[in-house]
Amino acid sequence: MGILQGFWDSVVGLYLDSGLVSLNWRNYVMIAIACFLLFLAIKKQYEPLLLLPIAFGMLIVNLYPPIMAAPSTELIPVEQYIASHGGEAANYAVTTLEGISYYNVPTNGGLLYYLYQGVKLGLYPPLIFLGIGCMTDFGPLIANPKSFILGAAAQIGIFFTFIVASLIGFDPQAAGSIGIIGGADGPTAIYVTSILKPELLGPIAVAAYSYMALVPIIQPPIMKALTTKKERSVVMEQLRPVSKLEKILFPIIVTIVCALLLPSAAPLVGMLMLGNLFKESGVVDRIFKTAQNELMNIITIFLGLTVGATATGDVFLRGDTLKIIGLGLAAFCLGTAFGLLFGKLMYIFTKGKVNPLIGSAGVSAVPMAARVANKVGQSENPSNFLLMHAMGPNVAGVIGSAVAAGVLLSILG
Amino acid sequence: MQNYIRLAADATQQAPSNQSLIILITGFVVVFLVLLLLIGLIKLYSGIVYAAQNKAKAKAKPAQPALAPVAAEAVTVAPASHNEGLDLQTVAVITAAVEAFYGSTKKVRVTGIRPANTARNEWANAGIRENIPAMRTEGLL
Repeated sequence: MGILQGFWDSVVGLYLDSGLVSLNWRNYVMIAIACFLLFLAIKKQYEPLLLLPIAFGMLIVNLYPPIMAAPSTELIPVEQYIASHGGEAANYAVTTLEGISYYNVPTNGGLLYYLYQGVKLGLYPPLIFLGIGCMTDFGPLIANPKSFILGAAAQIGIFFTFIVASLIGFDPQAAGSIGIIGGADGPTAIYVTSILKPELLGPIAVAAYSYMALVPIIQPPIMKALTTKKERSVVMEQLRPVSKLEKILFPIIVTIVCALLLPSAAPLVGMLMLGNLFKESGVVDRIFKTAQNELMNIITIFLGLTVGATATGDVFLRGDTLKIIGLGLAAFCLGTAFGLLFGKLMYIFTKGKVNPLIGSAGVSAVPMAARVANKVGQSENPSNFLLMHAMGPNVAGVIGSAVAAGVLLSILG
Repeated sequence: MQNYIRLAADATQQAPSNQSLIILITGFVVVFLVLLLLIGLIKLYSGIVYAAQNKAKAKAKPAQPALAPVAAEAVTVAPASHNEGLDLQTVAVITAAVEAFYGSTKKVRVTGIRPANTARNEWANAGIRENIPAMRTEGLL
């Protein structure tokens, strides 16, 4: 009989510990959203490298919230503690409540809490930028430096969205975090939000990566609405070849300029340029390959998983999340539109030598935005290859969004 | 510049309603200024590098004539009627590709280059592509 009772007590204990008792409806809604995002990542292949770990982080934290729990102290009656430790007392601090003495026994945090420190301390996004730098060819930008103007123009959406977000009631730090979605650069958005408004990390990361994945759907209608058929058909001159020395000097000069003028942007721009210097110098092949592959992949797993794990039901299922997703879309569309409008200006000033479509690639989203510009250009003129021309504003957009992030951090941080 | 940006932010603490506008203007100006400065610097150093490399090339030129005849001999120039519009470099690239395709066992001589017969249908092209390896194995190529 005693054995049966023990077995029953164990089963009841297991049931009481299980998620069936402890989870609320918000957790179940988030589990459904996480499963939908997993579907998009696996079946539709929307940014799967990041969306898959983000969605899984979201899933696991809503199934088992303590996985993200911070370390804490547990109050255990001193007598009970001594009895269960073979009569030995401990050195923990003692708290007395209603005449009973308790030990303050420290407990460890959850697995994802510790991995999340890389986001909280701003470590992962710059490390991701290191890998991106290894994979980026700045040749088209060096060959046509005017592309920087388009990269800058596409950041205007960030600041306009900041104003709108402020007007509808977000505090300046939240508004800055929402505006940076318009940069269409996931690591930059996460970096800025982790410093300005860490509690919004979940919605902002999901919005940023969703819009980056939806570039081929969001951008073409704006591109067609803001340009004429004649402008879209412009065939641009072939870019000049860029020497190795120019490519080596580029990351060094950009780092010096950005870090001197805007120190807040130094972690992002510096790491991006370090990665690129690994690539272009050609003398550190081993670390170049590690930064581009193993390191990048490891950080991507940690970043995606832990950012997803911030999206608990209590944080995510609020009216503000819908506003953030709407404002993020507006920021992204505005960035695209301003890039195109500046592209049109360049078209006019160069007497038709610049195809305005390349301006839309000024939002980062490398290389998807450049591919979309190429595709829309080819839909008007199949023999028109705009890809390399669009890569200039595209990589300029990465630097531009890091500079814009530096400005926001300087003012609001 | 960082300090000036901070001053701009501090100034807005007295008039919070203006903060958004000040951030908008500061953002525009700083992002454009930094990127315009980068444009100037890239143009400057690209010009310097280009000039330096041209100078180096000009110095190295007298040594080149010894190599030039060898390169010219390696490429068989085809009759002009077949090669109109093609420069020597393109002819050399096509010759090298043909040589690589047939392997080193055969001596290859390119006598003419003309656009592919686009009238041939895809099935015929596929047949030719399939037959070439077999013909090579049998020593017919």
